[in-house]
Amino acid sequence: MSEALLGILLILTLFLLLAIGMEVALSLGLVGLIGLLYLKGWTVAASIIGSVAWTNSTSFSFIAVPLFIFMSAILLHSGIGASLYTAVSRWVSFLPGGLAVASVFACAIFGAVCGSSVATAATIGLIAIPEMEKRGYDRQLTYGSLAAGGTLGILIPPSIPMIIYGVMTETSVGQLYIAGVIPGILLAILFSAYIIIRCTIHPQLAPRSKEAIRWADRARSLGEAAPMVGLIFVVLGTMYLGVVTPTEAAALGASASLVLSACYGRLTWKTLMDSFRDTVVPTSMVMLIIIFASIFSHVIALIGAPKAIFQIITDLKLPPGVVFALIFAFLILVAYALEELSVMIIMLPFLFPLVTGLGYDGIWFGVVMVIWLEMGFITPPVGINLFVIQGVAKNGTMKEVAFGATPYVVMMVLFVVLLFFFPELALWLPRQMTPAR
Amino acid sequence: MRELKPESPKAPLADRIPRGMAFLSGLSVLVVTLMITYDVLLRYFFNRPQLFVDELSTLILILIIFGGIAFTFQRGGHIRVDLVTNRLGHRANRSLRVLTLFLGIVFLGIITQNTFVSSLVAYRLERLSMVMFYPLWIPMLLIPIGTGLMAWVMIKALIAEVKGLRKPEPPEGRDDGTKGAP
Repeated sequence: MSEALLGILLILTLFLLLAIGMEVALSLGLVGLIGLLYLKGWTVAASIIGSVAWTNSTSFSFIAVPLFIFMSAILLHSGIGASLYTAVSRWVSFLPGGLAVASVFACAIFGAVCGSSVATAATIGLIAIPEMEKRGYDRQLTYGSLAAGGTLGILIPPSIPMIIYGVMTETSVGQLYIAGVIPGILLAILFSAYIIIRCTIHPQLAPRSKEAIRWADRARSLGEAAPMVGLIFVVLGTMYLGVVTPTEAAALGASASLVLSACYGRLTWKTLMDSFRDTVVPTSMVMLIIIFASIFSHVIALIGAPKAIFQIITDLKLPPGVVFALIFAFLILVAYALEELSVMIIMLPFLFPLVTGLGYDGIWFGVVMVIWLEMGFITPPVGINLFVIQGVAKNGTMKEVAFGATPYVVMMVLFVVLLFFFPELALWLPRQMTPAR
Repeated sequence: MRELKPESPKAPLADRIPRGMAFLSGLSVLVVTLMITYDVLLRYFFNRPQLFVDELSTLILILIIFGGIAFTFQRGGHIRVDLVTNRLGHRANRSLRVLTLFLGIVFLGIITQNTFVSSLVAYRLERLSMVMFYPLWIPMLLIPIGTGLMAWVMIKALIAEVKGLRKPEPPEGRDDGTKGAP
């Protein structure tokens, strides 16, 4: 059997196993094992499997994954992130749709201490949704702003998908983090601008409060938000200054979150146990996919599939921009059908060599992939943030959440187009960065 | 929602062990957090980097990952694509689940056997870690323990699915709540 035919058969087998409902991690591992057995025989395949499992399970960079998840879980279960919403809303509530704008900015700021979009949407949503419902805000506006705002948690560093992308593609995680800052802030501004314009045209969507907010209240809110700003410095500041690596920043952030929770009197046994559970489950799930996907990637590399795909694409003599547009269109379609993080892990061995081979920067592509993940998180039927917001909003329907989030998907697509024409939006800041010791 | 806390002694062993391992996994995250923080603080303020931290953290990562995989399966935390299976009938759905569980158990069995042999070889050859000379067979053994435990939990789920196949199909539009496997 030729290697090309073997490659096609393996990929078809993978899709078949995924379609009949086998766990993504196990499907990847099984197909990888079949490929290795065919190519190398039992003895070599056995040693490759052992060595791939060992290498991925003992990577220092991957330690950042459970640490950032742990930090997010502590912040979520102790509830100390919730005060951030109140503080931000005091500053922006005068704007049309002020509470929805506050949701987006509170998510963006919380995203700077938390690498998970789920934790961001849940933490801010828990306090923002009742407030907006009490004020008579339109439900689609409410849920959409929170579902989309929550996704900023993975673009604004720290970011768990960026760690996975960085380690898988051997790209600097620190540089990826810093590259996400400007796009994250710009997306937050874009989301807010949309809310303001929409609520100016349709003021009935967001009734204004008659209660005036005094400057003294605003000043006091700065004090309430100070611990979160401190956390941002611990996580991002130390990394940007080159004092720590991303993994160490994750540990410092998790420790600081524990100390903060203890200071607020919220570090209970239950908080700790819930945080353990919410750390262990996603960590095991993601890391098992990564480990078994590595076996699959190993086979794909042995067959030479990435090189062959690159050759086929270059033989078509399409301009790189068209190729990139086709890849992105394909990814958007995939986002409607499959869970995005798994797709990213499966596709990276093919996409990364192709995109960088066409001359695009690996850091820039990392930012694009994360924005695509953000889109997927608010795209039905498998967008995880839609489920989170529906769970938090006890009266909301999935239809309201999904329709509310749709305009933000369009904005993200437009933002990727902007990044395509102005890659410096992502690449300028990493160039100013001091390397970690 | 299942809580991650010490289980009642009356709970079946198949439930208690994965949960206990998951608790150890969570505790390990806390330990690694404190260890790395300790290292950073000592390095930055006293210029005394702790050599053991990097190596020990990476070895503990194995417990964090593989300690939690069986519990994650029990909670339905391992992602599956249900776009096709959701459209199938009760019986077809269960039959496919039996097949995927069987394939998964076979695969995990091979991985468990393979990684167990590797740790046995490391034990016999007295392989040590590069910096602090920790015996490597201990962390290596955590991989087959984790995958073996997950296979065990999957076998239980497979039995539940096979038993479910024999039951009559529930009326349309109603979930009998006996999906069994996550």
